[in-house]
Amino acid sequence: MLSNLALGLGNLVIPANFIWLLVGVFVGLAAGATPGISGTMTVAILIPITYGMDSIPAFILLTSVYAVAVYSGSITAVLFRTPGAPEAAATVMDGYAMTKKGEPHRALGYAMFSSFLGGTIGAMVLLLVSPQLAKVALEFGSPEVFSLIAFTMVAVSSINVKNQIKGLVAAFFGLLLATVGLDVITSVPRYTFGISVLQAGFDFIPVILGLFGVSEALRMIQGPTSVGRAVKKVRTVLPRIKEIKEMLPTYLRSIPIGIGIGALPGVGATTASFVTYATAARVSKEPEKFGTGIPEGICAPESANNAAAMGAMVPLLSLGIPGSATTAVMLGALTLHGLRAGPLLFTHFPEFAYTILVSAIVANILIIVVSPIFIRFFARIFQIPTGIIGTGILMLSVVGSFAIRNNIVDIWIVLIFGLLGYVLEKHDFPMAPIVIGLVLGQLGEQELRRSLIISGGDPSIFFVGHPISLTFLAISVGILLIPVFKKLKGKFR
Amino acid sequence: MHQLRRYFQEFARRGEFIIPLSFLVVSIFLIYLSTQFRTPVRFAVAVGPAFFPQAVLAAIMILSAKLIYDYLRADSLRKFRQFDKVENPRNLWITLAFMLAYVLLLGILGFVVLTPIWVGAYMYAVGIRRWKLLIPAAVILSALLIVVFPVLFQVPLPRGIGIFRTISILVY
Repeated sequence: MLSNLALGLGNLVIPANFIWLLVGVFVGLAAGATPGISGTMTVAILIPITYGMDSIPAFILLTSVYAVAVYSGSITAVLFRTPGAPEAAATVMDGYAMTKKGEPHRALGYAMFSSFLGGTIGAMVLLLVSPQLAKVALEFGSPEVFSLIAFTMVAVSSINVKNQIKGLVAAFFGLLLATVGLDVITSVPRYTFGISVLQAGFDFIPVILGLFGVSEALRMIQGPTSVGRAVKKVRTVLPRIKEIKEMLPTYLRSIPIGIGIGALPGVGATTASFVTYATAARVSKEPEKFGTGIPEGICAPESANNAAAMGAMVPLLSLGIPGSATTAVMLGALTLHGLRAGPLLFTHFPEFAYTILVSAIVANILIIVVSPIFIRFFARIFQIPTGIIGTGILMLSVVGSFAIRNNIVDIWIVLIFGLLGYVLEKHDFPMAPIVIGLVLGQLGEQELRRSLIISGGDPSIFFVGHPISLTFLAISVGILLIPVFKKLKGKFR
Repeated sequence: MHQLRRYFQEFARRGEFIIPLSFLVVSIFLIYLSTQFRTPVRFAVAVGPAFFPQAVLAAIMILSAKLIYDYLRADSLRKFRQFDKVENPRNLWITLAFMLAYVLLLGILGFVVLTPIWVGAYMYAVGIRRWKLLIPAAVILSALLIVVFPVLFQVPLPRGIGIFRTISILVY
């Protein structure tokens, strides 16, 4: 492991790679701090740009954007009560209250330090846990892999969604999209409607560029012409050693919770930040002070959301299973570069895998170095009119989708999925299950059919003699039945 | 245009019904198509190519039917969705029209000629009227796209026809 780690570090200190890391940190800061631009969308529209790059610099760029965008949403949360990203929503309460008290520099400093600490520890855990989990995953057979995918789909479509049924419809819709093209086992064409380019199925990139790029641009372009407000020059003051010591119990509680929640499919950094905020308030001796601008109210959610973002990469790298929209997009990017996430990544491409892990750690460390510089220029970046940002997103989505297969059909796919995503999201159909369904659908179908072929069509293969598979399926059924239990509980009251 | 917008608004208000109904109708059609997937003889004993799509479509049909049932049982307040007012609703239609025009004209004018014109015109149409902002923004954005995709990464973007093709060859 140490030699691989040295290889990863060696790759990162190559000047060209380090420049890509810095570019990723700046892009992540700008994207996360701009309301309406999500980390998911930023990673998605960068994929076509990375197409012409080697896989190592490409993933250094994407990983650093992903790691940093989670933090920078807190800048606007603290200064304007507008979280730049959903993960920073819990930071608004005490961050903005501290700004109102005339201490924005302290609030920004706490947010920055907490994100750095949470993200760095999260990335180190990722480094230690992922290779070990990958070794366990190597033992998985077809029933286990199918059950794990089923569990991921159920969790992503049921947890953190406004309507579970709509979440499930979205998940099945994603799985349906994955069936388009030549059948993986028999090569029978399915739903290709005579369009030759569809024989290879829906390419993942145009679909995500449509769902996350074009649909977000359509929303943004209808909003106010500028997301910015008058911004005074703000400086950042890091907490002193004494203040950090006071925050230690909060960090010791929030970071492990964040990593744990992040590693679960479908839960994610936003939930982690709210759960840790609520936990911090519950265990506090002065819970009434939460919401009035106290450091604990910033440190708990900010350390947890960055830790959760890193935790979410554990199942992606070790099992090849994305638990969130952004990690699903990352999985798509891996596929585009001819790599397959999962246990074999660590055995076949250790140099690549460890470079990603090291760049995640360094990107989190760079938050504390680069962020004060970024905040100085922040006022100008923040006042770019939405018309210009929207145009950039649209063009990158359209041109980027064409770049993958050089086929005009992919531009039509971007536009159709852009409009579809816009309409579906307006009616509370979540996008993450669609994307994860599309990404995992083919593998899921393959493993399901392979299992049934092995058992001669007997579905008990998923339960009998396969305890891991049984556990995943039992948890999935449990998650599906939660609303029923809640309803029954309500009736008996 | 105005009438089209009204239809769309009405569709959006009734989306809670129309979307699941669309899923249901499309699923029935796709299930019918799946019955025509022929399993090759050597795979006859295995689970066929129609098995997985049919299972997925059956699930979509059941869930969509549940959404329609919920809609029909809901009171009128929940039936008709009210959305937050947006500042520039017109921009949605402008964007869709511009995107459509871009895809249709790309093969004729080519990427190099069409992109700067499109970017400038689109920014103007969605409300950027300050020339000092619009012209540099359009030039920088177009230049970035041209440098990154066709020049740097050698993506063979459409060159257009006739004179447009000649111009494009001069650039990349």
